[in-house]
Amino acid sequence: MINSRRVRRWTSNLMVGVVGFTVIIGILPLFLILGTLLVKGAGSLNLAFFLETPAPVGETGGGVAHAIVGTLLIVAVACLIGLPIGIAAGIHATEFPGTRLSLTTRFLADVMNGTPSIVVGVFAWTWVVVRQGHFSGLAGSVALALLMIPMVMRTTEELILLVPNALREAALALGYPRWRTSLTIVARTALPGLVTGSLLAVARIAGETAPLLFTALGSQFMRTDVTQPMSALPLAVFAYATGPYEEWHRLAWAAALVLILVVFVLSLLTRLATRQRFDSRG
Amino acid sequence: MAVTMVIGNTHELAASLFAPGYTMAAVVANEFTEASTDIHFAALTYVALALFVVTLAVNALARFLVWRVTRRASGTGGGR
Repeated sequence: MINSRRVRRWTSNLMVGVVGFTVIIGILPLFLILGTLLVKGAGSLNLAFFLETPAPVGETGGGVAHAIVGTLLIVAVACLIGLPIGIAAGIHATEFPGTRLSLTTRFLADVMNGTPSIVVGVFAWTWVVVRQGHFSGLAGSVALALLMIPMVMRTTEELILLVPNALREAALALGYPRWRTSLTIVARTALPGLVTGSLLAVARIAGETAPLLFTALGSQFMRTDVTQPMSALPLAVFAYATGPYEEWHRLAWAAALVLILVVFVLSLLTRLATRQRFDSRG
Repeated sequence: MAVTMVIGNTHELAASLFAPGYTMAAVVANEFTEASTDIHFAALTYVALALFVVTLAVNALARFLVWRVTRRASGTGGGR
C-alpha cells in the first residue's frame, strides 16, 4: 500500500518534471529570437530610424518609416476586406450548422488554411497585378485578406459555439427574427473574443513576406497611395537581410525588431481599447 | 520565406540533406519578380499549382483519417 503510494508520487513528480522541461523547450525559441533581435537590432534603433526613409547605398543612417507606413496601410486594407467576410462566414457556419452551404464553407476554409502563402501571392498577382498592369499595395492587401479569412472564420466559429443556447432561445422567444438574434445577441456576446481572434489574425499576417513579394513589391520611397507599389516591414527585412552590404544586415536586424514591436503595440492598444469598452458596459 | 533565406537556393539536385537545396516555395519567391517571359511565368505558376495540389492532398488525407477515427469511435458515424 505504502509502497504503491510512493511509486505513484515518484511517477507524478517525474511526469511534472518532464512537462516542465518540455514547456521550457517550447518557450525557449521565443526568448532566443527576442534576445537575438534585441542584441543585434537595438543598437541601430534611434528616432531617425522611425522617421526617415532609407539612405542611399554607402551612406549610414536612414530609416524604415516608409515600410512602417506601408505595413500599417496594407494590413488596414486587408482587414477591411478580410474581417467582414471571415466573421460573417464564421457566424453563418455555426448559426446554421449542417446546411450544405456551411459544410462547404467549412471545408473550403480548411483547404485555404493549409494553402502556402506564396501560392496566395501568385493568385493575387494573377488576378490583381496583371489586371491592374502594375504592382500595388492593394494587391498585397488582397493576398493578406485571403490568408486572413479562413483564420478569422475558424476562431469566429469556436467563439460563437461558446455562446449559451439559452441566450438564443430567449431572444427568439421575445420575437427577434433569426438574423437579429445572430447579429445583435450572439455576435455581440462573443464580441470580445472576436476582437481577440481578429487581432491574432492581424499579428499573423503582419509578418507575412511571401504574399507581398510580387504584389506590393516594395519601394524605397514613402508612399500612401495603396494603388501604387509600396514597402512593408517584412519586405524590408527580407531585402536587407539577403542584400550584399554589411550596413543592410544591420538595418535588417533593426527592422525585424521594429516589426515585432509594431505587432506588439497594435495588439496592446486594441486590448486596452476593447477592455475599457466592455468594462463600462458591465 | 524562412526556408528561402537559409536553404542555399541551388538548382542542382543534391542527395544529401546537408547540401544546399531548393524548395518549391523558394523557387517561386526568388524567381517570380525576375521572370520576364510568358513561359517563365507559366512555369512558376505551375510550380505554385503543384505546391497547392500537394497541400490539398495532405489536407484531404488528414480529413480522411479524422473522419475514419470519429466513425469508429461513435459506431455509426457523425460527430462534428
